[in-house]
Amino acid sequence: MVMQLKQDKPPLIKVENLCKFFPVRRGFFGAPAGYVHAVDCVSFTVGRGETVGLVGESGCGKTTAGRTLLRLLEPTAGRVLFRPKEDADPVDITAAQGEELRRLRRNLQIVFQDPIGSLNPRMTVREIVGEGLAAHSIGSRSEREDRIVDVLKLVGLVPEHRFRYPHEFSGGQRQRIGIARALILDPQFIVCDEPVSALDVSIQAQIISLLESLQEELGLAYLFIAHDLAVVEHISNRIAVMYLGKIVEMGPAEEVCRVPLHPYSRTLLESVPVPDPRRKVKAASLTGGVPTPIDPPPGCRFAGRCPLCLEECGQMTPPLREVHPGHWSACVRAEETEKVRAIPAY
Amino acid sequence: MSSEQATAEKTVEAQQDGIRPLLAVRDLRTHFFTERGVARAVDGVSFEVFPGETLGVVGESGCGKSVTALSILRLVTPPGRITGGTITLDGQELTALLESEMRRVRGRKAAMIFQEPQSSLNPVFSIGFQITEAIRLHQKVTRTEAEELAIEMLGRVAIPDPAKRIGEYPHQLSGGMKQRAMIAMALSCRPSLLIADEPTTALDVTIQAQILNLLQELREQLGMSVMLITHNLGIVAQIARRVMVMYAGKVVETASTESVFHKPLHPYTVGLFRSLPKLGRKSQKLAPIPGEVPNPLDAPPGCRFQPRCGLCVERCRAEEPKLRILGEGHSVACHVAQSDGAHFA
Repeated sequence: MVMQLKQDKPPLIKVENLCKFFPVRRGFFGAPAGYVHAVDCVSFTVGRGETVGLVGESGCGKTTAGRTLLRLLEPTAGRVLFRPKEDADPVDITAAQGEELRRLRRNLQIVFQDPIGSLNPRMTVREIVGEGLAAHSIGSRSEREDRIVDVLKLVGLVPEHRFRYPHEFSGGQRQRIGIARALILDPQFIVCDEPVSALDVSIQAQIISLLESLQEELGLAYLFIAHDLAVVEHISNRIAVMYLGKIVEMGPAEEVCRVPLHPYSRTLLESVPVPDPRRKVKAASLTGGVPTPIDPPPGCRFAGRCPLCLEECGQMTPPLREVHPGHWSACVRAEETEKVRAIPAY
Repeated sequence: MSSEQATAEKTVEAQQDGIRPLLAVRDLRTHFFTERGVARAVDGVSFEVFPGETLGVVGESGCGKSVTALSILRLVTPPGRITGGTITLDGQELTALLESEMRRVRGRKAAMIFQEPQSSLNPVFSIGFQITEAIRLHQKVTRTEAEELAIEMLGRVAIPDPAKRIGEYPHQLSGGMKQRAMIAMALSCRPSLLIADEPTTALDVTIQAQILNLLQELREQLGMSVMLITHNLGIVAQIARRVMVMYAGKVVETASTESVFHKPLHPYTVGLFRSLPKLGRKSQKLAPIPGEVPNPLDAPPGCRFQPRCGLCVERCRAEEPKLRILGEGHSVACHVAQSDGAHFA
């Protein structure tokens, strides 16, 4: 069930059947009336130095998946295996406790969407970026200072600005501070949760280029969570598409964006307005709304809105299957989806 | 005398297509008088919107596109103030109107929809109440007639079962439905100009596609003009006839959508396109524009884009470029721009 990289090297991160359910209570003390299936049996891998893109619309569980993976949220079920060294045994992040978990976190970092809300306004940049060093008691005072200066240079900030407060920086610079904070402990894996969604186009391109060059230099692996398909395709090696808590398609970025194997991915791709006035496309609009994620009925979650829906789709949840090597789809009619015309490049 | 001459000039300029513009904005200046200085959010902006067309206004945050829209409806609040220029809507000069007269223009002649439907709708009134309120303010109709009109409008924006939905409150509707209700409200008095300020930015792509299709259909049906403000170049390419690109309170380029996308002449416009990741072109490297948007309190001398521009020459630092006509309906505010695009070679 777990998708493997093409190469035989063991992956850095291996997520197995990860679930996160949130109880819905009636009243303050009431027993749960149901569960929101935010992340429902999600499995994927992230290789060393690889970028995996996680796309989907709001409420599909992509952010929850990222946070549960890092144990910022406690998973309801499933495992996340992390292999710090290629020849070492994997560690189960979901089972780690106390000091072990704390040590693991040095390797696993996150960059948040909101560059304003995720930086403490009462701390200077130096304090924000250096907090990780202090928390893990790394280096002497001057060594820490040197490291902070190095990391700030690395993300393209002026080190002399480290005594300033977040409000003195622009949106793009604040996102650089957030990246510096994630880099300070020299991690192997960073979850980027919509890191460029709040930024303007020209600044967005700067941050994407920065993330790409950092990856090349430091051999980082990213889980890149975003809703902008063009951005995700650009930065990712592989893409996973989520719908209502489940991965519906996963494969090499270009393949997923060109020849999608799931009707939902196809709709998403065809809904993106094309920045070329010569190619007017009337976007195929979906009928119906997104069903509730509270105790969803059996069957494919996309069935109610799917143009290819069969009777059996409402009865059993279609499993992810490997339609082409490395390209997985959770649609019983994946082969037919493929025969529809390819999504043209802009 | 001089004012007569000026008017004559304006009319000539405006009649370039042989049609009188519905909206003509001339040298609009909206400044914000803050404690730390004067922010020239909109600084000498001129443009027209012709009947039945969609004008796309593109630019990054802080470029003055939203303030321009708010200025047209005279909704700028202190410390902001319109300090100069004229706004002519359907032959009526808006900057000189009293607030009471302006209220008759808003909603009836020009209406606006905002980015976040959840914060633009009042949570304690049903959507039906909010739409009928607008109708009864501008039209002499009874409560039941207004309600019928509201139901008709909700039907037009493709809200299923409008007669039932009319009694619902904003929190009972999804984001896309709320934006539809906003559009229904804005169109309930059949304005000739609809200003849509980032109408789909808060929505998912599939819902965005629905709303954009709807806006185009309604524009055709009702024959209105749309001024669409967005930062999304894809949306502009798909639905605008002409595009105006703004940067730091100035118009830097205006042209037909075709020219802006296939023959952009301003270095900023070109920079925007090179910054944009495109689907299906994974191998293409992004070329971000270096630097950041200037502080509005401390704009650079000369051209405002000059500190970030790769083609900047001496003159750009000394003298502010005016909009020059470099092709049919194509004007560019750049000293180095040439009509054949040779300056990029």
